[in-house]
Amino acid sequence: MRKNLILIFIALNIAAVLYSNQTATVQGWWQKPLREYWNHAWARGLNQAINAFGTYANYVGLNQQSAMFAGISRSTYRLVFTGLRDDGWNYPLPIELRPDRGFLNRNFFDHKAAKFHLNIMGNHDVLRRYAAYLCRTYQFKENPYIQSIQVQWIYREIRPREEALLTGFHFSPDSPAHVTQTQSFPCPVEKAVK
Amino acid sequence: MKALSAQVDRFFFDRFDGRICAAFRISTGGLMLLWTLANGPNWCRDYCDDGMLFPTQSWSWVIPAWFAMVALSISYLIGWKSKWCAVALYLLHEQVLVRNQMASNAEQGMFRMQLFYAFFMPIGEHFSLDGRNRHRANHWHQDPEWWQLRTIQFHCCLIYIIGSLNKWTTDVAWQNGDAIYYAMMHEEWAKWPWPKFFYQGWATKTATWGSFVAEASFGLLCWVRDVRPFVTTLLILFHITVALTLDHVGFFSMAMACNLLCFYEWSDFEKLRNRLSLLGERSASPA
Repeated sequence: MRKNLILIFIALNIAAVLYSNQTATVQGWWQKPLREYWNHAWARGLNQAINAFGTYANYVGLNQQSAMFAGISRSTYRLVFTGLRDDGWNYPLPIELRPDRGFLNRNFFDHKAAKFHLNIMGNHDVLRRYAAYLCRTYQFKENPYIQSIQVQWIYREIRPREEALLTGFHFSPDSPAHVTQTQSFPCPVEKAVK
Repeated sequence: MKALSAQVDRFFFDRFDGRICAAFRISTGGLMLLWTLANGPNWCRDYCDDGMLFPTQSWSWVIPAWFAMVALSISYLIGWKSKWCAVALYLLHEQVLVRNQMASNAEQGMFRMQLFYAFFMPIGEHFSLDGRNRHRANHWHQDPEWWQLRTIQFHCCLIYIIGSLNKWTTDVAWQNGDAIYYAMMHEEWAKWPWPKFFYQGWATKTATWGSFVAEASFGLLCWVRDVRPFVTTLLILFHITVALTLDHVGFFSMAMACNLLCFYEWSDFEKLRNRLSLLGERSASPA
């Protein structure tokens, strides 16, 4: 009895990992036949039972997806945050992914930065909240005060390897790093007046 | 049928030297401690109420949680109340991960997985304060059963098999051998000092296909007793290389290396020690 329960537990964990890592195609394989019998109670019950593996995986922390650099970007991208005033004065914020961050910051303290920028890139609501945080942190650190936070998306294409081998450069001189999008988020005015 | 049942029984319920579980505990505990310390300067940005989440300025549990995570990681590392620490660390890592998904990184999911499996392993029996106290109290303990380690071994195999399938089917660069070239040219991810080295076809193809084969084959080769220590060591070296040559994936890569320790048997280390001492004796003895 004890041994059987242990084997069931191991099988449950394997099923949870497989469920969490199924692709849309795999999901289609088992969902399509179930949908055909959707008006039968057993089909809905079976669907719930299979989805229970996902719920279990979420609860016990086995729901991580194994992407492991499956898709590799052909371009470099990063976000640059700058503090601005209306008169044109600007202050490059001393935050993650700046080239002058130093060894410890780059290798240790900023270890989540690239994924963080990738996550918030294109998410206006999160960018607005992050800009508000940057306002609170840096607004009064400089004189004159920062009035808004500007976010620029810097993008640069990587040449195919054969081209890089021929020309000796993996970035094209014809297409330098360029700003694809700029957004500004005003800092709270009442604080700037203080 | 009986033979199969006996095989299954041996595979899952034979006993093994639990010292390897202590190696897993010490390595993951050390890594979690480093991770928590590395997150210190950005902790409030990511998780506090006056960080990037909810500008409410109210008191929250997040700062005490950071100190608790440091203390629990140390306690887990030295093996004091190891199982309780595993449970508490699991809950804290889970809370932190859920609190701000935007600031999450792959190693956080890996820590949760490691702590979940650690709960079923005899992590506190050896090289630990728990073990020493038990020894002083003359408490007898039995060697653990293999299933306690098999669970995490299966999971690791699935990670490599699924990851390899994803690579092969998602991006053509893994098939034509240019994947490592693009990774090494990326301004934010790569820290390899000589990117031009990977302009050469042989270099990038060797690295791409070599890493692919090492990962893809591990799920099968790790079950062959004679080659398991070699493929495990190869893959650990691969993860260390990734941590050294790519930025921002160091903790994840090292967490994977910690998982791989579960594929060794303690006797592998003893054999290695014997061979090294034999070599030492030979070189010391006069010709």
